[in-house]
Amino acid sequence: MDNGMNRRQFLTAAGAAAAGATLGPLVPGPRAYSAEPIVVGFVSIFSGRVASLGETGYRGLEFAIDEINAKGGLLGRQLKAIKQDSAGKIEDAVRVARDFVTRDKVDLLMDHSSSREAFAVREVSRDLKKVTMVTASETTELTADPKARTPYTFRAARQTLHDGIVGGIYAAGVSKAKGMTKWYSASPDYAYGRASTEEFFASLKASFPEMQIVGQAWPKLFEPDYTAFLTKMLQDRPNACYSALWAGDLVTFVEQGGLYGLFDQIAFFGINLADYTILKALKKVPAGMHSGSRYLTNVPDTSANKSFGERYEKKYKELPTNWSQECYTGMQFLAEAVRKAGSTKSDDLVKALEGLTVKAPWGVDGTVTLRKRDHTIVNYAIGWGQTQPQAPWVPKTSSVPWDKILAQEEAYLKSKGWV
Amino acid sequence: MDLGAFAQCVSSTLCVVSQLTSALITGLILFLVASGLSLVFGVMGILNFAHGSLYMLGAYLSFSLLRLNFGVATVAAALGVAVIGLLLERVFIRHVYRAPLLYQLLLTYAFILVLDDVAKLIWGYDFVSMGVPDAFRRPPIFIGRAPVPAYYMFIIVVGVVVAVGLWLLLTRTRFGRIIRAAADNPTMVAALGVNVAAVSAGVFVLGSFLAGLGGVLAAPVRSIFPGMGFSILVESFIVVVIGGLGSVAGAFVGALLIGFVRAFGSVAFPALEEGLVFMLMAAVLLTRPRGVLGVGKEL
Repeated sequence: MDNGMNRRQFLTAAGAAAAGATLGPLVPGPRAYSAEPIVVGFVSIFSGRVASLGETGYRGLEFAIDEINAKGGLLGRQLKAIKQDSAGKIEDAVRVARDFVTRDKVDLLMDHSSSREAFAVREVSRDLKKVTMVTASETTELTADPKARTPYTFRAARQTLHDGIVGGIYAAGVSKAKGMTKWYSASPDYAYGRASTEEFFASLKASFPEMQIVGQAWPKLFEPDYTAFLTKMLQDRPNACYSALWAGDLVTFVEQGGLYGLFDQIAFFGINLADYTILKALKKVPAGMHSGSRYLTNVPDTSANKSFGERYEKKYKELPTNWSQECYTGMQFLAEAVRKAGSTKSDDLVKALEGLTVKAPWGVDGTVTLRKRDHTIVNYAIGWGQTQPQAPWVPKTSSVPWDKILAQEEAYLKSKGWV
Repeated sequence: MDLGAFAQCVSSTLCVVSQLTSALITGLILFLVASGLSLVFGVMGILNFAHGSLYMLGAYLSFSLLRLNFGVATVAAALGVAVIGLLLERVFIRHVYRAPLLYQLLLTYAFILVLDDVAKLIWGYDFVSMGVPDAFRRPPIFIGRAPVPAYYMFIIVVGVVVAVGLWLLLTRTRFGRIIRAAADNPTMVAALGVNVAAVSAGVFVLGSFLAGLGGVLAAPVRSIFPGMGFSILVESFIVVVIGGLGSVAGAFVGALLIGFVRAFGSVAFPALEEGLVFMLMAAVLLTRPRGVLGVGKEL
């Protein structure tokens, strides 16, 4: 070798590449130089297969901020957001969150990370006593486990347990009607995928005890090729499959499954299917798949929700995602709390946020609430229905009243020893 | 561990055929990318970190050209990546052939970042999905009782044809003999009057073409996004370690081994599917440190 590289150097170099990848490039956002505006630090993923998480979430936040600023801001000050990419890496998300608080002196923190990073960012929030609005991590445990809860973390994102309960009840209805007893799952192998699948099946089993799980696939997050899992599923011959895959992973899974004719044989229940990023990325949305509502302009079917979708589309030339609406809602909560508390001090904001109700397009009665006990959002619209190949993609959805969701939630949390 | 499920699988044609197809398509796409990496390393001594990015460009170009026609898109996208490879080699990489390893790493790693950003500027931050071409949107072909998607048959055929073609090129042609000679002793080859610079460029173009073709074939069934080159780059390194540095035959064996480990590992050790590939690499490093088909010479 004329540059003198040997095997050991090759391995060192390959190792260096892997290390380089974990350190990763960061996209610095604009910094706050003036003490004048109220600053929100926004940490999320802006690169790779789920860049849409950060990009569309940030638009939701920006959309809310522009509306608030147009009405004169908060406490006579303008609102401003700064953003930074964590590239989906836990250590980077933690560093970004810390830097926002200690270096940039942000007033508020918005953590729009996947559940992989959100648990670590929660500890930053606890340590630095900074109010943090979680707008993407849906894993129940993040706020439900009282031993791990922090006073400063609030969640304006869906909770897997709520979606799972409604999904399970809906799936039980379909299963009874069609005699589907043999169930399968294909979900990403990390906190969110595991929790979502367990909670869906718990709810399904409660309403339909005849069901049995005949196999489970746990591909890693961002798996490029699902073929080995798909062929195994075909051999196990389930009647139906639940999946908590999301974004590009879900699109790839549906495309690859379609090649095997999988969905002609197996009823598919994808909790994350009905979101505009997915529906538009799929070359052909298969008819008759079952999906939970992520963001749809017709769930809930109200003029407030429709108007939100239209205003957003006018500004960004695309419809909002579930993440846009969660960040939009998270900002509404923070803004209302600042108004109520008359300050941006963490302890004042915690008091103002606990039990706070604000107007939101996806609220079932036009409002959503941050529950005092566990700081998680309730009363948002959850619908399940079947897909069709063209807009509005999921024309009809069925839902479950919130008192029933909450009762079933209580039973589940008790079984976990969390209440 | 689920050895019962594994025993049941190997005794059923359905399971064996399905997992075999799965192993072949994973392995063959990986082979296309890894063989280019291995070739460029073996002949030029260049560890091209941007190789995965060429795979990504193949996928994106094919996505953009699909509106013409799938056949045209496949060939044009792979050739397009070869041209990009030529530019990279002539304008940048040839300057670091004799530079310390670190310079090569910095330069080629920089291209990962640059090309990811270029992809973001042209095709957007979000993933795109191409979907299989209409010609392949048909019910799967049944072998025994096992379904094999038509598009996967296509990948397997193309992969095998390219592997055989590459083998013939390297063993039966003058170009192949020069490549192998240049890998062994470039100074002597130059002394014999061969234009080594042209050979280097030729090898780099061939490597880029193979990476691009890998991306083109994967594009319809995998989502396409800036940064997609990185995971296949890591796997390609594993293939090169398993197969032996600079050995195209080794890359073929290594890539198929990974395909098999993944496909049958998901049946036998569902919880370990991911780790098995690394265990395989560790086992090869311990027992055959030069790789399964690595050349005997001490590097």
